[in-house]
Amino acid sequence: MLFKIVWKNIVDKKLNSILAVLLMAFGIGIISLLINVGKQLQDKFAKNISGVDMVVGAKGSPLQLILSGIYQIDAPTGNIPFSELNLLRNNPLVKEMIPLSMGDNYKGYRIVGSTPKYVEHFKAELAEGRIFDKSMEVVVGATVARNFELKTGDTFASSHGFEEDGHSHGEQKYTVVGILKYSNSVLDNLLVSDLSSVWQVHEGHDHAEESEEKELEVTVALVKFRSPMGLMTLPRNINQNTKMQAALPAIEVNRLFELMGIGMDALKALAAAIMIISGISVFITLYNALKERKYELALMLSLGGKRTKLFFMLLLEGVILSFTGYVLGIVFSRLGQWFASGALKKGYNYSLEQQFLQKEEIYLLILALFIGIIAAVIPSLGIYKINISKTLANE
Amino acid sequence: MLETRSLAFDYDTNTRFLFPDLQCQSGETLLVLGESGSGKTTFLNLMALLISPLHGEVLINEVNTGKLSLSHLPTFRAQNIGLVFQKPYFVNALSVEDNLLLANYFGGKNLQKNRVKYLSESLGFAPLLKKRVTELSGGEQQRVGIARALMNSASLILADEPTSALDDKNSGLVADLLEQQAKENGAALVIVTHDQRLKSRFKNQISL
Repeated sequence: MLFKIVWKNIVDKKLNSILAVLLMAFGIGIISLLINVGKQLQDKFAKNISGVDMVVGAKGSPLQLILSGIYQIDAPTGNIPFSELNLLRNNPLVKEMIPLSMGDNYKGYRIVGSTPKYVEHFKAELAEGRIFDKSMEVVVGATVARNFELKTGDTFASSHGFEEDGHSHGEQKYTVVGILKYSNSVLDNLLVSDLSSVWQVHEGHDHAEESEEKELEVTVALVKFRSPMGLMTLPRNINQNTKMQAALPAIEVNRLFELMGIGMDALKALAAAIMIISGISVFITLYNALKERKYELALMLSLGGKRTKLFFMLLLEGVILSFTGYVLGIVFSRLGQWFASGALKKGYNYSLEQQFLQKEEIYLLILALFIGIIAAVIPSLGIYKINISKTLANE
Repeated sequence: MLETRSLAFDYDTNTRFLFPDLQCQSGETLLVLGESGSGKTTFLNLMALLISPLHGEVLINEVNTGKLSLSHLPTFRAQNIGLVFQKPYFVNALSVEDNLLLANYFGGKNLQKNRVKYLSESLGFAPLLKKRVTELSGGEQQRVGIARALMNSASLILADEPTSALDDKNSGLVADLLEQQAKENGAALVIVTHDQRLKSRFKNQISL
């Protein structure tokens, strides 16, 4: 019966209730979505780092170096001489070094010159064909192959740069020798060839350089250390004593998330403000209702209702409104995630997993209920001020 | 069933009310007549245990109500006294039926749907049970108010100006129903009013 009264009262003030619920739902939805997407992106970023302790490339922004070298999303900082890298390879602290050479694309997807180790690094398996072993042979990532229906034996010309409409290297054709399975890594969106292919395509192409003899260059190198000692000494050594730059993915990615964090924090603050407005709307709804319902409450008291019971009845209204808002907000958040996941899958072959309630969302529930109770408690206390006889006697 | 002894009440030292002693047995009807300002609503509130007297006693079913603890008072009232107001207040969000069941609920009793059915039929508003109270006319609302006072089979019905807001036809009807229902349910009925139309109906009456 108590629930019935509460429920009927909520339904009776449809518009007020909907407003309070929607505000709460948007606040909760935005925060929950930020938490979930942020967390999963962070996981994905971390997954691509794994195994790479340091990235070496041309001087410039270290963050740019990481973004271009590991995630293949930003432009590279420039090129470095291959010979200098070889010195690094011989360093006893270096366990493994994978050189990458970028500069061309196929219809917008990057062609990366490297060694078969690059493919092994991501534990990617071949869906068909074999790994490249000669110049101008290429292995195609799963997304690229799917989007352009590439098969082994196909040939294509690359375009210069990272734009689809770059200058075409028509005279040199790549041959597809293998297609990779999905590895849920950056590899899905790449075409990987031998280092020498990239050099061959660009031979006689670098008009700017009129140097006496051609020096072989690569873009970046992914380095794995043999021991944590490498982390202590090598990056500083490279940055101080060579023309190259060393960047540590762990540090740069943290920095990136700190930068993103500012935006996320602003959004979270906005969402929190929306939630507080929801609380205020619950407060106003209940406060007005209390004035209108003074007679009803006095009646319930005269029928034998206890003040404590009626107090909790009013409180329950606020709690139900905020709880409904919370549930709706989580539904919004999951729907948003589903849409975002669809978009990400199309664009980057990244997908977000639908998860059950996160720990942070339990905190959100507590916060939502807290706001509901705080908003309801002051109007609800009014029940203790009602004088039954006076209220019922005076019209 | 109801007995009052030398009741007095004051809002401040200038307005002190002294009320006559009265008795009302089961099945009897007592009309308390008084002009506005004569303290008749105060008298009713004292009998309804909504306020406590300066001195004097209210006995209901041989219980000296002044000796009841404050926490027990609402339950005692809910189970022994049915109140009918001049303007029947309702919980507007609920249906007629739920408003009647409310008396059971707050009185701490099981919800008696059979009693709702019985009372709505004998008071003639059975077809309105699912409607909202705000859709009802004044006369219909007053009949629902009477039914609510009878929901817990109270032994004392107190009516405060039950007819003064109604036209002549409804006034007579409501007065009839009140008396008849109180008799059928074996309850003592006290009507407090200034409505002169009721004066001739009830032979048992006192004036303030």
